[in-house]
Amino acid sequence: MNRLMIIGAGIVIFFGLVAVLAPFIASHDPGQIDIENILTGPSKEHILGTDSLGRDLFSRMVFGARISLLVGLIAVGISAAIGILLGSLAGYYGRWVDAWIMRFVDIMLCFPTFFLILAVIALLEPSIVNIMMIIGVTSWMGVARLIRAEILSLKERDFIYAERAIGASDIRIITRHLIPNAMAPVLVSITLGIAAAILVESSLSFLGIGVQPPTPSWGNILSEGKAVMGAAWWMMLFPGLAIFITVLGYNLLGEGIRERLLRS
Amino acid sequence: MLLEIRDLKVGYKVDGMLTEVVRGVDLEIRKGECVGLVGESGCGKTTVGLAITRLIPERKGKIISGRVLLEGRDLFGLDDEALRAVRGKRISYVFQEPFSSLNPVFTIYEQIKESLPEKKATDRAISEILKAVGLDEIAGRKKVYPHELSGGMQQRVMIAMAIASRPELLVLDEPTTALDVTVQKQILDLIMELKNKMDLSILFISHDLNMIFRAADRINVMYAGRIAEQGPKKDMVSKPLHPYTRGLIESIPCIGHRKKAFDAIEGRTPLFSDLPEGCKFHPRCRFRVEACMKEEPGLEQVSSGHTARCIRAKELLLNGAGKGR
Amino acid sequence: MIKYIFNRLIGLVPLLLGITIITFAVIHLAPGKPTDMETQFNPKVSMEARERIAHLYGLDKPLHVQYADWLKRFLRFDFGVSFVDSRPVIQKIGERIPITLGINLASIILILLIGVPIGVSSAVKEGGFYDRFMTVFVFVGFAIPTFWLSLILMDLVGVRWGLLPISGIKSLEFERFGLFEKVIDVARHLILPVAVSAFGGLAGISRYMRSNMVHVLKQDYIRTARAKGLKEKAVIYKHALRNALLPVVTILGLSVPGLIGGSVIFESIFSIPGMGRLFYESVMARDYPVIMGVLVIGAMLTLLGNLLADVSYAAVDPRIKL
Repeated sequence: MNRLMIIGAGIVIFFGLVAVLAPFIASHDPGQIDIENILTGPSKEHILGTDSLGRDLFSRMVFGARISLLVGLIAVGISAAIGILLGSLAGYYGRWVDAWIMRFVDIMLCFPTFFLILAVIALLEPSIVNIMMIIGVTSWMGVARLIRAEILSLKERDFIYAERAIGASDIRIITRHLIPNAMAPVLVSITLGIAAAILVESSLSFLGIGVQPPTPSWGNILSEGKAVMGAAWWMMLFPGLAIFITVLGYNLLGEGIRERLLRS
Repeated sequence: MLLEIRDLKVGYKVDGMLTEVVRGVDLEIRKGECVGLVGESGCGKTTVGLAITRLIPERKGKIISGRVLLEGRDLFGLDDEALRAVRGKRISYVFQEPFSSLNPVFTIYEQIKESLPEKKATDRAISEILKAVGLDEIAGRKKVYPHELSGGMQQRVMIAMAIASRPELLVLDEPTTALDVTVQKQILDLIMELKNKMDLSILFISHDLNMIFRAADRINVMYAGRIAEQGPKKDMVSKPLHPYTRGLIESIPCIGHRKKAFDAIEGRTPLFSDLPEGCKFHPRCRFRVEACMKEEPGLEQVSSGHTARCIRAKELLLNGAGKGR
Repeated sequence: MIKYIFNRLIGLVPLLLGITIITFAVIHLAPGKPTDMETQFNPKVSMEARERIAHLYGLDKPLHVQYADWLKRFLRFDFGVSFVDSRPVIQKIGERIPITLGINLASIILILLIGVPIGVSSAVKEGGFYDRFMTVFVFVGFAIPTFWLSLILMDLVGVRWGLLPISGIKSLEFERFGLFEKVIDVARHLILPVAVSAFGGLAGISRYMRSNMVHVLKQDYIRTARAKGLKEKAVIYKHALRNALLPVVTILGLSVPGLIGGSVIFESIFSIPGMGRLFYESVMARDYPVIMGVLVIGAMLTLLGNLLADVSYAAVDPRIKL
């Protein structure tokens, strides 16, 4: 464990716990409207203040952590699955399979990802499931390239020849031997990918085409914060900080893992 | 005396700790002389060469103590400005890998130009220098880049850069090692030709004793960060004193006449972080006695101008153990 | 050189074809027909418009014929007309592109002007206090959400301190200004957007520059330069810098899609009438032809960026012969 990893893992675990234990941590019902207390600053009752409907910001942010982390994790899960599948097919079978898949990767990389995401959202409804899917489907190319490169070098190793010699099937060789051995660099990419996915989700929600109110997400709380700019600094400061620290946490963890892999 | 190295100690940083890799080296180079410094890789010989003009990067290592006197003036006492006036002007270097030692994005012309004092850096002067190192075909051409040349030609460029400002001392660090055997001889001939023409003094660093025998007037054998034996070439060839030197000579196939040339020295060079007690060579020495394991011997004169760091040097010389075995 | 560029352009054809296929696929990805979708969500769309779309996409024909037709129109840069104001899509995009490219160019220049020196000085003092401080800065730069940074700057610089305008690219009374005032006015409007769009890229470039420089400083030719007795400044800023800068050219090319994609965020926050904002508005209004047009043009700009990067890399690196 190096220092980057420890700090990163600490942040990641902290926010993970907040998300899991949200109902126990939240001091109020995140949807409870209180017309008496609109846009009040941080106080004993509302430690991070209230929003323009008098809802408790702290509780909304605690539940927002659930959304942000969920979207981040599942989106990256989808992108890793696609990336690993296509990357290992390309790396293992080579020839025309490789040529077509890698060409596809090149084409996907041409699109400004954020444009592609917005275009698809314009077609589908901006539900949480759709957002996870879209982020996943538009961000698998890096993983595919990594896996392919790893497998290209692994498949010439002796133990793979040995497996083939005893008649192991392609699927067995790929899933039991190649992918597990190729996972190390992918792990870094996945960790950094979670950070990126959280950023994308919050950007979308901020722009009003992501997670839709009243479901709280850090991005759409910030969007409300923009509307009351100058009147309620807490609405802008805290959700932004939460995104920033979470993303920082995953980035640090990813870099920490990378450093460790480089050393061993 | 042109250059004197006195009790030089250099350390390298490994995991934050300073490990001594040059553990007190004395070396002298007279005017017009070619001095060889030979030893297996990792014995610290390159470090000695770099330390002369403090070329060891700060993040990698540190000169711990010692002095380097150029005509009596201590180079370690100079500030950076004054040291730069020595580097490349009075003491020049040629390194092992010509390809990686030349900057890939600058032309040969620019890189040689840099080695000349501004006033003298005329196109004509640069052409002359290129011709002097046998690169007539690119003399006068300004747009030639290093990657367009062969390894031998690249090394000629390195030599051209080194001699451009007519230095007094040339430090050659394995100048032929990275080259093809046929090219090695050409480069060595060029060096010798330039030495005579320009009255150069040379410190010739190599692991290749054969090369050193061909080039050097006097030879220093280095082992585990110290000089193991030092003397005139003819004495070293005819009556080597240190068992390590004998081993090196015997491992030259055409001189040793032995089939088992490669086994001449058993074992490996020790790690600097884990040096043996006593004589650093004793674990590999076939003449070791009890006393060798206790204390590291000093460098002692055995005959005129011929010194060795071995307690049995005289004894072994008298009964001719090296040749007889 | 010309032959090389020509060959590269030929090589782009399959990629372009792929881009059109994916864009076409995205159109047909939606459940139901695009015409239904458009009309369903956008009450502004009249019956006439609906027919127009049906005609545009030729929805009555088989899929491959539809694609071929679409491709033919694409080759003439005919993306149809906007649902919102019935103007040709290509015209709408055309008037927005210069603004987006201009801002991105300005921010790339800013990134290079600041990021390169940061990277170089960190590398020269590798492991020192400054280097560690910059590492922290880089991590912060990577993690800070652009839109949050924009909001904070708007709030502080624009609203609280009233130093700079926070919306649009020119003031209301712009037309009454003299030329000099006009330039100053636009510049004042662009300071915040350019600063924001540069910030994220800054972290990336300075880190990249640092690692290049650290690598280069360990090379043998740097030792040669020192052994020649060159000044440390010449060693670093001449011998090391030129080698470390070469790969940055490629990275700039690769960063084009990120920059263009990112323009959606800061352009909509600062109400800048660029391509990103056009795209955002079109998404909100489900102005379908414009969305597809921007998507294809955006991808083509990326291709162009990569091509430019390769060509300029080949031009600056003497080891590459064209």
